[in-house]
Amino acid sequence: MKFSCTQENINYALTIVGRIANRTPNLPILQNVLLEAKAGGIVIASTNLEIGVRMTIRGKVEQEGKFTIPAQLLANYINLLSAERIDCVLEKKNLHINAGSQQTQIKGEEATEFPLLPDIEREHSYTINRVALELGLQQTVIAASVDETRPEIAGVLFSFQNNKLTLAATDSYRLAEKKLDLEQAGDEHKIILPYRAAQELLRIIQLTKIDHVAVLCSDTQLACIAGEIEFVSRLVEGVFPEYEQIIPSQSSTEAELDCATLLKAVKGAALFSKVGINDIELVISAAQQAMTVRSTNAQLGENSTVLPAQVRGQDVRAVFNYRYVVDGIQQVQRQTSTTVCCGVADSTSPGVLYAKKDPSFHYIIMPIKQ
Amino acid sequence: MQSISRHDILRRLRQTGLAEQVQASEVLQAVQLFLRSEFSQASQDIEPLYVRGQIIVIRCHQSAVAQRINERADELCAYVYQATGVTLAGVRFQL
Repeated sequence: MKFSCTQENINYALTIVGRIANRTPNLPILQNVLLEAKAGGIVIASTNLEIGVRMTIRGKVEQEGKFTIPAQLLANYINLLSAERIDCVLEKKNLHINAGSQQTQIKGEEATEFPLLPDIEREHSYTINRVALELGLQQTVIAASVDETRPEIAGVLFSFQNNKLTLAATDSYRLAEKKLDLEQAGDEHKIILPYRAAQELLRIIQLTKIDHVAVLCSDTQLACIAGEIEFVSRLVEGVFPEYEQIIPSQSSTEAELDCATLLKAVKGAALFSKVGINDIELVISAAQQAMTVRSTNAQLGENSTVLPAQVRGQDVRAVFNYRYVVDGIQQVQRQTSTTVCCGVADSTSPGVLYAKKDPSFHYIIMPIKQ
Repeated sequence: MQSISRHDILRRLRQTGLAEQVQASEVLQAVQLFLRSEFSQASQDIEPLYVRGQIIVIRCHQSAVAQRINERADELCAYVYQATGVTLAGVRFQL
């Protein structure tokens, strides 16, 4: 194997691909990235057996071949190089890297040991705007459960229906749902992408500058193609809970107020919430056209902030976990909205946060029962 | 009455051009049996896929389990040889 490429290209590819490489010593070959020089360019791939990422970069291939190199070491070294051009030559089990005046050799392993990345299955294919997908994943992945004992909620639901992609995630205390328009729609299909894969997909699409992402899925696999990057993940086997009925179609009380002010008030009240419970009380008053955020801690003291709001409906109070409220407000802010709508029916029903000017995102929080 | 041996069946299958597929299927079944008996707790995460060039390709989602299978690859190959007469050279994983 012998090839040359630019430091910028290989460094970018290693940033995208290298992080998947497993750092745990379970299967040592998983710590490596696969370098494959072939006619179409240089393919760099890594996998942790749950997720696989493959990227092709441009370069001059003088001799075809493939080899694997420790991902972390290669990424750290390439990142330090200042030379524009990098020449790589494989000799026995060493990759010789020549960059300007620097010569290095890195020991690696034969590519025959490296796990195979499956061919992309194209049973259902869709195209979506990258920025929209990035926003949707950012807004929903925070609500996914990290507890793998309930695999059906340890991921993000991708539901393709009626030219729309609905992303939803829940950890059973809160739920985030985002509806996105598809640029190229296909047939109806539902899959659950594991939490870690969703996070990794988000990281990768944040690093790319491509306008469109092709999403291809089957019953067992999801693949996303963004330019020269191919992302493949297995799926969670299971059925995502039927959550639609818990989203209140209309709350009896709704308060619209400034996002930044509410966020500060909630963070202030959080300092006085009970340890382990993280409770804050939201009191909406129609007569005063205000929302009061308050919390009490027997050891520390208490806090109360009255915020002006546009209130519709009757007076209501409910107690929520401040962490979930903070996450919800931050995700509404991503909608480029300066105001947030809080819908609360009563102290035992779920509350809902959304942006009035763009209701494609809903964030539902279960109250803490007193 | 004369009995038909496994060898006779394979010879007939070879004549009809199906021997390789049947043998591969036997190998997959043997690998499946081995994995189910030795890695029963993780059997949902393991699936033998195909044999190519004496290498058995297994889908495995857990790197820890993959490592345990790797450590016992020789034992797996020996079991497959004993059960089917097919020589495997090693194990490779697929996502």
